Amino acid sequence: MDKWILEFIDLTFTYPGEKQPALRDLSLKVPKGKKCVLMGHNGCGKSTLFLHANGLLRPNHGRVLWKGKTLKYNRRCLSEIRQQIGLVFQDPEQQLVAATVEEDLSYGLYNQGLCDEEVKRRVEQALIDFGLEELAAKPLHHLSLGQKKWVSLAGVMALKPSLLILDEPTAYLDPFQTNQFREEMERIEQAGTTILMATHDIDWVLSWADWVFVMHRGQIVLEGEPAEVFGEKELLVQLKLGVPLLVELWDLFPQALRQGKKIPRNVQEFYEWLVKNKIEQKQGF
Amino acid sequence: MTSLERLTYTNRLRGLPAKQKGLFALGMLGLTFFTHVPVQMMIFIWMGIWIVVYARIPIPFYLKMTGMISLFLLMSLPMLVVHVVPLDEQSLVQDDSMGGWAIGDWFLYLSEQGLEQGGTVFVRSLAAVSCLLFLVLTTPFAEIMQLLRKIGCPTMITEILLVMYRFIFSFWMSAEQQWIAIQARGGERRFRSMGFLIANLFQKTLIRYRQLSLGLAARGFTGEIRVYQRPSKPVSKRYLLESMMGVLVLLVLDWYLRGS
Ligand SMILES: Nc1ncnc2c1ncn2[C@@H]1O[C@H](COP(=O)(O)OP(=O)(O)O)[C@@H](O)[C@H]1O
Ligand SMILES: [Mg+2]
Repeated sequence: MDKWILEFIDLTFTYPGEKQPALRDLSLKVPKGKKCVLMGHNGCGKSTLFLHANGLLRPNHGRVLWKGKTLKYNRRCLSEIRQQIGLVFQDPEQQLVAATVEEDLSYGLYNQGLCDEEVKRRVEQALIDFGLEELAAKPLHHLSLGQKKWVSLAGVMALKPSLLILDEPTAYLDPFQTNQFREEMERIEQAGTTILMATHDIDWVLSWADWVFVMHRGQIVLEGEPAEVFGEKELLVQLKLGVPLLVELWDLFPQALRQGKKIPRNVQEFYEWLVKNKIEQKQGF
Repeated sequence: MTSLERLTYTNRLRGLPAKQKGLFALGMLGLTFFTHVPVQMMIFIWMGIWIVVYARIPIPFYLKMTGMISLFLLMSLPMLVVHVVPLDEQSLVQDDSMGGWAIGDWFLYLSEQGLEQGGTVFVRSLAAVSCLLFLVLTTPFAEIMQLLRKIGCPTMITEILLVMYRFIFSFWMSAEQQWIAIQARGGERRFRSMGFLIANLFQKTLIRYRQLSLGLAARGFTGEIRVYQRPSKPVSKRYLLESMMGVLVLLVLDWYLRGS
């Protein structure tokens, strides 16, 4: 029970009026305290799956388990689970509800039943953490799409949920915000938050993730540690997904050298392997 | 629409607390209800000064707004000014009639009393509108909302207003985007593009609506939308003084008019 924080079991879901199901008998288990990534080409059902996590959509078949207990679709259970799962939508327009930035940040906090003082403190902290002080009193529709996305991230991350689900969080961010976002993620994972994220940023997935799920046409077709998953190069290309630059590089080296080794996850690891290998190479020849 | 919104954030009276502006606007609105026509005219002019001179709302913009509203008011005037009586009662209204036509069994005429009434209603409405315009043009929506919450406006009303506000703007923005997209892609004939735009917007609005309710729920909607209230800004003494003096002058003037 302790190992998995969220489990999807045999989910099948078809949008009303659609012929093709968006999810087909999908099972996925999110390990507690891990950084998980869900990959898959556009339209494979990632966003649909996320909407099942906190009961926004109800599956036609199958069930959802939160901390080992089957999710019930009554008002109390739903509101309880929604306080513990922070969900950041792909489209920020969808989840910004208040008139100004600071008001929007406070909305989720008030929903957690915090008092005025605490809300004020947390709003101010979030404004600082996300560099939003100058935008605090701005109306949301005066912001650019990237800024809106940034505010929607801040609004959910400030809630300190036990599971954070992010749907393509870096999609509209500029490089500076992307970096800031990664730093913020670091802080959040240190607090022991479990993270499940959909992203196309494969280079970062390789270096950052603990566990990777690959989704195709409403099913999970592959899962494992990033190094293992990206080892399946043919399959990934076939699924219309690329492989990280490092993997491409890695594949250029002779099979004999790579045998039994894991794919390096970042430039540093790759460099170390190079250095070490050069020495071995000299000794070997 | 969007330019109105921007003005609320950039006008010179933005720094005044919403409470001060709101109370002033409400007070003036109250005055328009019982004062005489000359005083109402002065209210209209004075509020115009607040809007154009103090808040620096561009004059063309202000004229356009009041012009549009006047047009609406004028459109409703015929109801007051044109009276109808059965043809055989024509003699009874001889004194009141400023000319008329017999149409079938009925007599349609321009009523002197009605004209006077219409004039009064028009001036009063215009004065009242200028008070509301003052608040709406100088105060960001978010602050008006906070004011409403503070004075104990039912949460249901403030929430509906808030959602409408978000909605109107996301609607407006997508209309703008769509229009640009249509134009950018060489949107052939205007009329067809327009029809296409409207059909598309309708569909988009429905989707937006569904998405926004999902968004509300995902963030743990508990039955009410509560948000952070900014501490209010300090009251401006200079403007407070002018508003008090002005109200006093208007009251005295009105009392004087009543006597005569
Ligand atoms: N509201 C909806 N109504 C009908 N079909 C939808 C809706 N949302 C998504 N779909 C369909 O469901 C499938 C999965 O979409 P989605 O979950 O958004 O994919 P992803 O997030 O992986 O890009 C797509 O084929 C899409 O067209
Ligand atoms: Mg998606």
